[in-house]
Amino acid sequence: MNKNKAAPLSLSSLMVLLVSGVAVVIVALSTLIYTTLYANALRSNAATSSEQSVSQAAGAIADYTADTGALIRRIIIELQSPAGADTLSDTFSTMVQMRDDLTSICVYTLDGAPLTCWTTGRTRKPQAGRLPLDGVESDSSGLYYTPPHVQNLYTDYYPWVVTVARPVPLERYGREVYVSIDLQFSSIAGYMDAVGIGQHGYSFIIDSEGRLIYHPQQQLIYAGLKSEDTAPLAALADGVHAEDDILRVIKSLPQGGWRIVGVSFLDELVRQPQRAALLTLLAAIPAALLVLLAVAVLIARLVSRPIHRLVDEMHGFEDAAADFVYTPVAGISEISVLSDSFGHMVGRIQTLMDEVKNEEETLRKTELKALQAQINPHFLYNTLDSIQWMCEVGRTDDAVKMVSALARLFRISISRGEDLIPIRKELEHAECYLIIQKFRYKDQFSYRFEIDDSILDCPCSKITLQPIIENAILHGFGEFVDDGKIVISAKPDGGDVVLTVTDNGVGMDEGQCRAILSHDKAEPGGIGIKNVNDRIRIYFGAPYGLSIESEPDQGTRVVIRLPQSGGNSHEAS
Amino acid sequence: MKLRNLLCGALAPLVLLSGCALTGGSMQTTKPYVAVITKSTSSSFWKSVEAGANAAASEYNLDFTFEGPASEEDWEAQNVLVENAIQNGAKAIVLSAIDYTASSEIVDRAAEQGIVIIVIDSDIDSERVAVRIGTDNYNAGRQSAYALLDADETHFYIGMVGFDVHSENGQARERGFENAAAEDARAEIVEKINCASKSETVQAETRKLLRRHPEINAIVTFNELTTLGVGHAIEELERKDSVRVVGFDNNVVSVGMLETGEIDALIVQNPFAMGYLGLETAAQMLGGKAPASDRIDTEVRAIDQAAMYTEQNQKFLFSFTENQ
Repeated sequence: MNKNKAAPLSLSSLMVLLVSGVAVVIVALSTLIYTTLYANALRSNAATSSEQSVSQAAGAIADYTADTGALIRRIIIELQSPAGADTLSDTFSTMVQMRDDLTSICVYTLDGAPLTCWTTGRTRKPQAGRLPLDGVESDSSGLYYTPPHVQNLYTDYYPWVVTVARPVPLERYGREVYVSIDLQFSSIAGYMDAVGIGQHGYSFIIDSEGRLIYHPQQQLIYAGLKSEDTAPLAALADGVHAEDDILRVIKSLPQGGWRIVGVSFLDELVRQPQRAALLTLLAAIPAALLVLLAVAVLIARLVSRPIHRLVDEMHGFEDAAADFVYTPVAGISEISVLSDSFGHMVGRIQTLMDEVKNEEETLRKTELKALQAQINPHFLYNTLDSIQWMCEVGRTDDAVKMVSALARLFRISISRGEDLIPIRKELEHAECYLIIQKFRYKDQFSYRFEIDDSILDCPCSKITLQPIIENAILHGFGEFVDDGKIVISAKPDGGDVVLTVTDNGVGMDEGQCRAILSHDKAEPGGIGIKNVNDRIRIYFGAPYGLSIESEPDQGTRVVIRLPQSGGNSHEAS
Repeated sequence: MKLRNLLCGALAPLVLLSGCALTGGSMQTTKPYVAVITKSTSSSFWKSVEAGANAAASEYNLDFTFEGPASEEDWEAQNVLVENAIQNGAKAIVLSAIDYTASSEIVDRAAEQGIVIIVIDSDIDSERVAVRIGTDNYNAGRQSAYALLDADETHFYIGMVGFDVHSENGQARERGFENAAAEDARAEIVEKINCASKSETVQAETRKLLRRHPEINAIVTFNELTTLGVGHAIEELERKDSVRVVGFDNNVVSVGMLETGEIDALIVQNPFAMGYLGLETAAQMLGGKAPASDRIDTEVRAIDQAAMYTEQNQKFLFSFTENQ
């Protein structure tokens, strides 16, 4: 897995998001559908209940106006009878007493001037009011219903009344007169105030012109604190009228030209219950989401978290496969299977890795030993030829030296099979080689050792210097150099030991230096410089090894860096 | 980690939403108590205030008491009523102050306890009053001057019959009257008397005033009871044709006098509205709504005999709910 990429959505988050999203959509849709249906039901319900309330009120008020008509007919019958003034007065006083809402019975001329008034317990004022019939039309039964007005007939008594009047020719007065009664609103209020539609709905009475007859809040309207715009209602037909938030039900009465108007508020009857339902549903959504989240957490615990752990373990394995210790991840069965398989795989891979490493090391060591054991046959033939020649010409001392050097050379090469030898021995090996070569090349070069005695016992992989010196003699000096010089030094450097082989030969350019360090076996049958470097690395580790500094025509300097003590773990194992 | 963040992010608003949804459904059940403390409870004016308060209380679901001292001058008794209202845990006090300064301290104390103070009709010297509701008394005084001077006389010898000098509204009305009268060259204030708001006292004092100054042909007076007293004095002395009277407020007696001529014009206030608006404002403020304005002027009309029964004036002059 590439860690640099933006982290993709985790399984648990994805599940929570998906499930929540689907749930929200479903709940929202069902809420919408439900509240719409509910609102429609409420709306038609509101209209029905308003109509019912208004019908009830209309029935009651219709009865009341029918009674009123009957009362006026009775009064007319009394007035048409030949009864005397005292009898009439008694009859009418009794009538007024018996009805709470009846304040007076009066007879007016057709001009509206009062002729007679009957009531009980009140003093008639001399300047009594006129019949206020201006702008009032008679209803179907010939009755006139005035709008509410203040009765101005009696001292210290100013009740608001509706006057109901009927023109009739009366013999008693010798002309056509209005017979009228004044009705207070107590009875009407009793009917109308009881009509409630919802919590704030109400109903009121208007006449055919849209004038207000009775309103439950009449005093508030008269005091200018409330208003009820009744004039536009005159133009509306009976039935249900919805306007913005207000539902009006209008119903005309058969008598008196009055109309009952029921007012209800959709906000209250429809929107508030709807809002309440919506709130309940909205409260349910978080509850549902909480449950979903709980489920998601559970899923995360059972599936996602083990997977995460497994992934972490895999990362760990990726980073350090060799030292990785696997702890199995618990979870649902699929996870367990995955975990077990991974554990098995880890074990298998680690075994394989160990095997490969061991095999490689064995291979390398075998190869090295084989190389070390190799004797360059040309070198041996040439040396033996030289010795033979020396014997023939009688240079026995030189021959003895050569034979002695050759013997030491081979003894050190073999070193009883040890890979590491002290530097002392390695230097001796190098010197033997140089002695032999010096004879062979007839003193074309000279050599010198600069040795710090303190490091003579430090370990060194054997046959380290010889290939480098061989390289210097064969390639550094070649045919053209007459006074080649080789300086071999060994010094401590910090905690390390540095061996250098410096020549003043033809040198190399950078490409050649690199080639020498990267190509195996520069010389057929000999040990390549790369091989020397590789061996040092294997024995002592990465920081140690060879480096070459060279300039064409100036010479070459090979630096070998070694530790002052010990080999690395490979050798130890 | 990611899941935990997601959970925390999702949970907080959810819990909040549920909380809102649940509290949104709950309803307030207790009725707040509002004390209405007036100058008196006996006059028609105060009965209308009570009717208005009653209408608002049932509309806004309030408990209220309606109390006033026996005498319209007894500010000490009124302070006791305020104290009682505080003790009884009133959430708001709707007050008509008898004395402009004498009740300031106790009202400030009530306000410090978080009681909403609303003044109707007559003001008090306090900065803790939330809303003042009532007649613009200075303008009402000016209107009374215009009503009094609305006649063909060449010279008005005016007697002023005032009431309690400590009452803020009475003083404002007198000031309004005097200022408006001073603008009319025909007007001359002959004498200014102040009487207790008691009809018999005022009747006697007016009688003396008219005897002291027989030239007086115009009397102005500034509240309901002094108006009755002046009306009775005019009736008693049979001076209704020679003295023009402008009074304040209406009741069946003063309206009768307006009809019969002892009184020539009434400056009619809207006490029902004061009571109603007083409690309505209290209800709104207790409901956490700030008042639209700290001053609500209720309507005032000057009504003379000829205009008594116009459609608008009869609505203003005669209570619909009384006499039912």
